[in-house]
Amino acid sequence: MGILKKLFKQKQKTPEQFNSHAWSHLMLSGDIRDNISRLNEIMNHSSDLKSREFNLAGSSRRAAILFVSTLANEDMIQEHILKPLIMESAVFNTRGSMDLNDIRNSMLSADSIQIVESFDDIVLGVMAGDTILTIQGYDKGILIHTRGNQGRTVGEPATEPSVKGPQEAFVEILKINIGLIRRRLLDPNLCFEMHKMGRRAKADYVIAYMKGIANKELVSEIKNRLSVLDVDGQATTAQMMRMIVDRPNSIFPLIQVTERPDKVVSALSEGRVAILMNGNPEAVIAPTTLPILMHSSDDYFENWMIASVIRLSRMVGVFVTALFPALYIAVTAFHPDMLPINLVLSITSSRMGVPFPAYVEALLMVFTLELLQEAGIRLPRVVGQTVSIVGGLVIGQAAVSAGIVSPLMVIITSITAVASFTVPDYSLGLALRFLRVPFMILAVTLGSFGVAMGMLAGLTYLASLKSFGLSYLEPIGTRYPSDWKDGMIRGSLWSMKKRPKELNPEDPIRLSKRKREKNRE
Amino acid sequence: MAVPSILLLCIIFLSGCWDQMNIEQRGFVLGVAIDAYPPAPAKEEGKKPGETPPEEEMELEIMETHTGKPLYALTVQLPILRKSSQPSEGGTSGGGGQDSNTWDITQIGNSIYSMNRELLSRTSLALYYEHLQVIVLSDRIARQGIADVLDFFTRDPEMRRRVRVFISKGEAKSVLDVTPRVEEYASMYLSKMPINATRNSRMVHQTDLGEIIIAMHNDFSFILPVAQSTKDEIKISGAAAIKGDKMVGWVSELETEAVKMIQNRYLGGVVTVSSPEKEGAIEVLEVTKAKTKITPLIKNDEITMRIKIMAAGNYAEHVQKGVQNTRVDTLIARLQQEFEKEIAKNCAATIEKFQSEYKTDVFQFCQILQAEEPAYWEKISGDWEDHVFPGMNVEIEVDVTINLTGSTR
Repeated sequence: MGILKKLFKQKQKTPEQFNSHAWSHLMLSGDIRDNISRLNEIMNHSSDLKSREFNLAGSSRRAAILFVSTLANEDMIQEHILKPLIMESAVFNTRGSMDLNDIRNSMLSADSIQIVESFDDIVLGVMAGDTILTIQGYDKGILIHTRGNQGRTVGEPATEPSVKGPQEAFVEILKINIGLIRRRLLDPNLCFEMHKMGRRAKADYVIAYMKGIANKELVSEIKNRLSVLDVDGQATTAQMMRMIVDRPNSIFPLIQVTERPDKVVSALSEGRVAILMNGNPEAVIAPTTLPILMHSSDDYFENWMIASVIRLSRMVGVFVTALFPALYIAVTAFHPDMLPINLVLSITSSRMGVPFPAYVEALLMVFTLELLQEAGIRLPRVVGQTVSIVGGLVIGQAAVSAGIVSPLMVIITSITAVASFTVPDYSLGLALRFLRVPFMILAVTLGSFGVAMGMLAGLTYLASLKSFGLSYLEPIGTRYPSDWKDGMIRGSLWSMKKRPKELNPEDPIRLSKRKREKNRE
Repeated sequence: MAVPSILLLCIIFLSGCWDQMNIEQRGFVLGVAIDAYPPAPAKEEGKKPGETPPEEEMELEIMETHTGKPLYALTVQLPILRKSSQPSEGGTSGGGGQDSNTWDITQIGNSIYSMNRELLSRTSLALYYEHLQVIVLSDRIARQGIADVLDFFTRDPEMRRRVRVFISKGEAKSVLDVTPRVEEYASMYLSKMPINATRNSRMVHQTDLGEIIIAMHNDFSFILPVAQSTKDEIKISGAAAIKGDKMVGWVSELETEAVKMIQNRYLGGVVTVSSPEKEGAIEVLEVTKAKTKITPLIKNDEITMRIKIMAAGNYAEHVQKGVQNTRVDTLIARLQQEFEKEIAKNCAATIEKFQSEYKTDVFQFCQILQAEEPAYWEKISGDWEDHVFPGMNVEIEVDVTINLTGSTR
């Protein structure tokens, strides 16, 4: 016990050490050598931290720039910092003397600069790819924005493909992602509030919302919850958001993670809030509801009747994914009287000679399906085809002819698999796949009564869930009947004159018909 | 949290599974045939002397009973399912269906329920009656009373109300023993036949267990379809008239047609008359619609049933003696008259037969009387079938409309 306590004590100490960095209160000095060596020391003489000393504008005043070569855009440093400072400004500099303001105002041609004093700001900036300019005799430096945006180019959405509509997906660079949103929403009220997250590694994240549409309480609630987080540095936005949702242990996704800028844009203009973090090719939208997770952006490109039917068939897919194997077990083991006689006889004859009871058979096949799906994700694309051949043909066909499973079970499994892919939200699909097994256990023990009870319990649970204060099943239910138009079905666009009431937007009207000018000639 | 979840698991795993049984372990009884026991000896020997079951088999079939002598022979039909996952070997599919797809097990005893349980000692399958299609009762059983044997089927919760009931001419088991050509199982063959009642009204339809229970509980008489069988064929030939719960006699096919028409259950059929135009020719009417309205008229304690039948149909066929030109204006009108006469004649003869011979009101006129003349019904209800019904007058009025004359004129 004593040892444990000791360990705990030590652990509790560690955060303080990191918070009180040795350098966090240090200020720049007037000596550039001093500054260079201090920064080198803070960064542990990292090999990619480069410094360059030079004489300023042909004079004898020494200056130095420091940057992380792996992050900064070196072309830009040469073109906009070194060249003007060393050569070009010498031509204009007739006074012979200059101060920091002169340098800032007339000598640097970089587009974004900032005067800094403390090493706290300097270290964060340099680590993000900025360049620090320090000049002999001044205890202030200039932090110049030279971040290089190296990374993937904007590509097609891989996990949320759509037939029509924009085919762009977020990339890992926050700046580009913000641009993708901004480009679609030319509204000055679109706010991107930049924050930093993480105790050790600081990551930039933005909270995006539409001022005047998004409910103020919602925005401040999300900000408050995020500010409470004190973590080492969050790898992904989704992780960060999962920690601050109303029920972190729920298997149902209480946030919407998307890689499609158009989804974010429509969410923002409905009055929801998006969070994007540097290094993550996805945005998190909050709050979200179950019906919203069942929407696909394709729904909005088609006629509303067609889109509604497609949306409803997706809903059927939800039930099939979670319940089909369970219902098969319940019907074959408890209630064959629920089926027409011919079907009963064909099921029976297909089960002739199968050595396992229906539930073992079903568990076997569901487990195999999970393995296949997992293998399909993990395998390198080159050998990916092997899985489909081995999985589809060998396991399906061979298991039947070997008499281990009945052909009907293979059909059930494949229908379940196909149905699970109709769920647009990947996390929701996973939750439904997870639910399959408890439902199967209920079916084995209590038959379709058990399945019905399970559904009841599931529905109760879903109804109790909340995503940032919004009921998870909204707009199913009678609280906001006007939101039904874009819930289980998709109403015609003309009918959706108001933003979803459930979000309590500050500006409820989003669409109205202008009066046609009659006397136009 | 731990306690409720443990309790929940207890509920699921301790109280679950009690009626679980895998589908392949269940024997779905498709049809039931009930014969009287012992079989009539003279008939049996006279018909097929070689077919009496051998001694050993009889020993299996007779059960020990607590009380009483064996009265019934219960035959249940179970489907023989072959493993479908294996590709079928060439011989079995094209072999003409010589070996039966069904296993008909007979048990002899004196209560259907105990016989049913006794059967479990002879099969590895658990018998389930949820998918029961037909019940076939032999005419001997029907004459003894069907209520006794149907009680099990009406009382047991596994049964459905939609089970069809047939009376067999002769042994009931032989109807189930048929090896049908198209259908896989004789029970399905038999239960699907009344689908054709829209085109052939010589078959009684709507005679499921539920209907019979209602009729028996109200003390109505009714008719049940009669099934006749050969080795590979079943025919629904007419009906059997049931009074109370006992069969009183056979009803021919034409009479069945008339009964259905009077009961307003006629869905469509055929009427033929000899041609009014040409000697020896036959004219055929396809009746597509028939509606019957019955009004009881009571005068001085004498009942007259006024039966008004409105039938509509198409001129379907002209048989023999050359071409019939339907463009002749008067022809259709005369044909309509002929058909009207024929239908009226058939109905009158049928009612007459039931009045005089069987004294059985299978038309269920009593129901109409009860509804429309309750005071009168009160007076005569005890005496209805034996005295009042046979002495009842009938007025039949038929109105036939020919709508179409077919593709040729």
